[in-house]
Amino acid sequence: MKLTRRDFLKVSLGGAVSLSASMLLAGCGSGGSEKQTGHTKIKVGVSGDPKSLAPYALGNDARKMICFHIYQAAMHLLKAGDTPIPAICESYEMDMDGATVTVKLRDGIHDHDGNPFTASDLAYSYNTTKEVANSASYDYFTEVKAIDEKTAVIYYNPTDIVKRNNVESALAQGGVYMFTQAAWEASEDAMVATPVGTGPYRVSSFSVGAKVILEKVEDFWQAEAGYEVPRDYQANFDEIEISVITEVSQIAIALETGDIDASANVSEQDITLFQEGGEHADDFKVVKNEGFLGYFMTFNAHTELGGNINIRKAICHAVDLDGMINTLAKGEAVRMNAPYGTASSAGDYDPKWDEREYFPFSMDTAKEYLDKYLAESGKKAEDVVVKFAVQNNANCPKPAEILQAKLLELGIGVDMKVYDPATFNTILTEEDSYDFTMYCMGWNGVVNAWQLNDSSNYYYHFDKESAMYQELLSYTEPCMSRVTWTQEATEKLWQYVYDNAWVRGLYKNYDNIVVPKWVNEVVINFNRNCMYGSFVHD
Amino acid sequence: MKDNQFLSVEDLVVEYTSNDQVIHAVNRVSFRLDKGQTLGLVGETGAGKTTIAKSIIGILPDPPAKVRGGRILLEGEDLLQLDDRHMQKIRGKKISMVFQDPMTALNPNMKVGHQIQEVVELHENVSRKEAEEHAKRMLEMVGIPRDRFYEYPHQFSGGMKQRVIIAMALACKPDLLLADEPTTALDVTIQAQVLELIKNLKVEQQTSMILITHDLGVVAGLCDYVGVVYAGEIIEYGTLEDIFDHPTHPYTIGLFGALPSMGKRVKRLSPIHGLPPDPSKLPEGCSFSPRCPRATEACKKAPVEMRNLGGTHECRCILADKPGDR
Amino acid sequence: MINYIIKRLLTLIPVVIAVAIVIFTIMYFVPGDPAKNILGQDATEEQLQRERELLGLADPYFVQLGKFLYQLFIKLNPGTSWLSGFPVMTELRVRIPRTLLLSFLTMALGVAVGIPLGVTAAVNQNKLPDKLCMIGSMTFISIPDFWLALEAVILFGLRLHWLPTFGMSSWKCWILPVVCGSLPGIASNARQTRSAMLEVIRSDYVATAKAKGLAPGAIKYKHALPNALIPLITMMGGHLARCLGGSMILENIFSMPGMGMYLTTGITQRDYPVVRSVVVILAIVFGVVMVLVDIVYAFVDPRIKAIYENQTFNLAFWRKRKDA
Repeated sequence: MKLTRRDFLKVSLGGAVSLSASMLLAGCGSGGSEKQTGHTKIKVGVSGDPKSLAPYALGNDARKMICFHIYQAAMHLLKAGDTPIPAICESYEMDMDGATVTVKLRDGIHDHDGNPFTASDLAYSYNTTKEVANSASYDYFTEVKAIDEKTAVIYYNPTDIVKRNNVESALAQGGVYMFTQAAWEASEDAMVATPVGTGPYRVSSFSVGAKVILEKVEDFWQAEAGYEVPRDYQANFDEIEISVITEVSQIAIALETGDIDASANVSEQDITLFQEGGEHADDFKVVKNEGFLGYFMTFNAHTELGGNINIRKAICHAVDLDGMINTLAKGEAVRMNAPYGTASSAGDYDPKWDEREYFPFSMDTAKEYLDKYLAESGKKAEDVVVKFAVQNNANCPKPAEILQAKLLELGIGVDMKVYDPATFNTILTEEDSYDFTMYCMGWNGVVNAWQLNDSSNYYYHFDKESAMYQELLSYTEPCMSRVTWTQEATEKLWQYVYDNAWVRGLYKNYDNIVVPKWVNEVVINFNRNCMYGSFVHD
Repeated sequence: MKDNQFLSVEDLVVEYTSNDQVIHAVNRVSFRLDKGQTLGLVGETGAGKTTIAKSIIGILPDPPAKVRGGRILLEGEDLLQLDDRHMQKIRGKKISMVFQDPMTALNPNMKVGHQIQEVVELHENVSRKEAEEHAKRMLEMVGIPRDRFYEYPHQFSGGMKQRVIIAMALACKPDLLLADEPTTALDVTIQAQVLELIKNLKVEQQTSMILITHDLGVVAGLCDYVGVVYAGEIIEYGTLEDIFDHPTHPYTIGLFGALPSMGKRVKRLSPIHGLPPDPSKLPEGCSFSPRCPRATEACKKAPVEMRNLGGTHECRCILADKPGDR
Repeated sequence: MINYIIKRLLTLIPVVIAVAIVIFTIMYFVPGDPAKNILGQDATEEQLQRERELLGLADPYFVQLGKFLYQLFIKLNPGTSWLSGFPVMTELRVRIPRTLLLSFLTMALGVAVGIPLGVTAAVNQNKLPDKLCMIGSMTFISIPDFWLALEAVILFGLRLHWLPTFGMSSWKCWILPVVCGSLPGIASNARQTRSAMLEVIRSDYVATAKAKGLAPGAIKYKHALPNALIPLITMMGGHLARCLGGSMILENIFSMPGMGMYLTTGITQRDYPVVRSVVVILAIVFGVVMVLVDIVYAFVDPRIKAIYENQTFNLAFWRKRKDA
């Protein structure tokens, strides 16, 4: 009995509803955490190594999760795509012409060492991060200056300030972490292993590559100063012990022996032990969380096959989404029609897009389009061989294989090559190496997601001189700038891309989080990290 | 007479088992040796001489080889009945053995002096320093400067190595020395020196010796008694004069006939025709009968007993004449 | 002898530099863009160009090579990981001792258990101890170590609760990884020792030792084994390579962050500073161990010691000639 799209809809909408509900609840009346009795410590297992806890470092999920506990940015997001709410700063103002963003700080901010935090520290955080990080990620601003104790000005790049969502993202989502100049200068290793932030937790011990212990900050400034503490900044545990367990099957074992209490990295094979009916269902429960990474396909405009709309449509209709989800995700996944998930994702998502049927799976329709191509080109089915480049990341090859089987049924040849992520990036730059690709990523908004702009044409290799490209740009341009963006423009762009079958979204897996029975509610932040410190528990 | 016997081997039988094949290496060998005397065991390669010697000192490799019968009486005590711990006390002290190839008989990893010292420390109740001193004296006794105590075997020539081995074998003044082809691997001039050495030491220390060789010339220089071994049996036994002046067994005669002679000029040497028998399939009767120019039907039927030809001379041949009957 | 050791250590220097150049060149030509790995999929072309400049990837080959060699060998600074920003030296300072300790403990156990097993098997050839030893070694050479490690974790950690299942918090955590990692080593050492001993046991000097009246124990361990060790010492070099490489699997399973995982993640993520530094360090470790192996040879076999001493550049002699 197949699960229909209805069920998926229910699940995803239900998820959206419950998350919003919990956020509304968080909104009211939690200016100061309730005294939690019972368990004071939670032990967490992560499979990635956080490595550096410095505020400017790049890193994996484990690092991000820890950093969200110990640092704060200028603003805060509860949900991706929302309007930012106050964190370090009370408010921000954009000056589009002068390309500046002015921020106003709150009162009573201090870091874990007790140093007071003022606007000059904010400026210092931005400028130092830019200097030390050695990364183009911080190119969007030139410098930050403090005007007075409570005000600072961020001097933006004129081209970056108009990009849609860029300012919000810089202030909150992908923002710079705040730290005081005093703490930075006092630190011997540039805060790599001895971070000092302003968040509700601090690092009490850090064993490189092995264990991080976070302890609750008793005098968390935000609570002390009487500000509302958002749901995901609640400190409901006195201590969080994070163990790095690199071998995924060991995580299940560690849960069973009691070395850890919770983990979001339990492997697919082991998860059944903790679900209903499993061996350990008595001590644990499994919470589903929509994952960050989704699978989808893009086409290469430069090659003969990739550039032909009938071939593209034929391939898109040969995607058996239900089959893939049933086989590979046991029937539980979030369908992606636009190439990013549901309400829990980036801002310009329109829920009514989920109502539509995109490229419904039909071998007959696929055959029709293929026949059109064969008639036009005069070729035979056996002569057609499509080159399929697949990224070897997060099990991407599995749905790719299912698609390959279906295409072979059509009578054409499929030359499928699987590349490791780093090589895949290089292959994408070669315009003759592939006709279409399948890969897996997280997304932030329509235009960025599809790289349909001048500076990032790598997936599609459009001929920049062609009329078609100019037409595409005419749809893309309005969406790029916040000044010209409208939801209708996004809708038009999306329709254009859909009509031309340049992109085909597949699905997103659920992340499973295993928590002990005594945890009542799991709190996930906008970046889909578990905020363990904020879990509600007995 | 037995109580005066220093060494008496009686009906010794040794078999090798390999791949389910039984090889009869030693078939009822018996002989006697008096104190201070030297017995030469002569014969072709593979006749079983080394096996006899190894049985006496008890170092037959046990998985393939097994003593199946007989007695080896040393001053009245049957060595075959002793357990290994007792034999360890006897080896190196009462009975010593010198092996054929000096190039490989010394441990390349140990200083030569220490190898001699080792056997002294094992059997004599002396301090380390005394043992070292004793070893150095042994080196001098065999004609090697005592400073060379600290050198390794690879720093010595073949002849000198053999001297070291002899020093090692005689360090604890054994009553019986088993020398298995001690000069075969050496060149002729060195041979002479080493043989001279052995002779002198033997006289000095009153050591009994069993000398295994296929070289009749060596036998002539050193031995008091001779036993001719063929296919695991002693087929003729006697004093040096008995064997050299009155060889009786066709095989013994053949051996002497095969020797090149200084006096005569011959176009060709006269070897014994044929090959020694396969030790896993020995003939029913006399083991030499297939090659013997004088073999008869009776020879091939039944195994032949040792016949006394008068005094010490014995021969295992039914055609052996009584002395004076030539 | 000292001359020989010094000479060998000096020859390591050009070897290590050559390794550095080779690994640099390999990473230079391997497909995959580090900039994209760092900035993510939705970076624009300009950002990627900028990132490449910041990383030093825009310079021509020889300029990059020169800078790298200068940084590594003269300033002794391996750099910072591009992916995490963590200084490579800090990571290595913590990781190298773990990997080396794991590898050496594994090798030591392999030797301490493997050699006596091999001796016993050789001395009791074709009898029960020998057959058990051979079956055992065949089994443990064939079993994949990660499977064995996980089974051991489940048995000893989960079911019996005797040992911790991961981490490095106490000395007990090292028992399972070292034992699991040493089993293939024990197996191959036992086989090697057995066959070398079988050869040696048949040699004349062992017969001499027996004829001297030495007890079987003394014959085995004083006369036979030292001579059987030489092929085994040769194998040690290869063993170390296997341990250093294979320790990655154990490090991963038991969450003991060492050099193995660090290197492999560095490779998949195209984190050039990490890869280059770790490979150079491994080359140094390896080179030093091979020199040690050669020195051990000299102590085990005096003939080899003599060869070394004859071949060395005799500094004292040369000085005398100069002054004369």
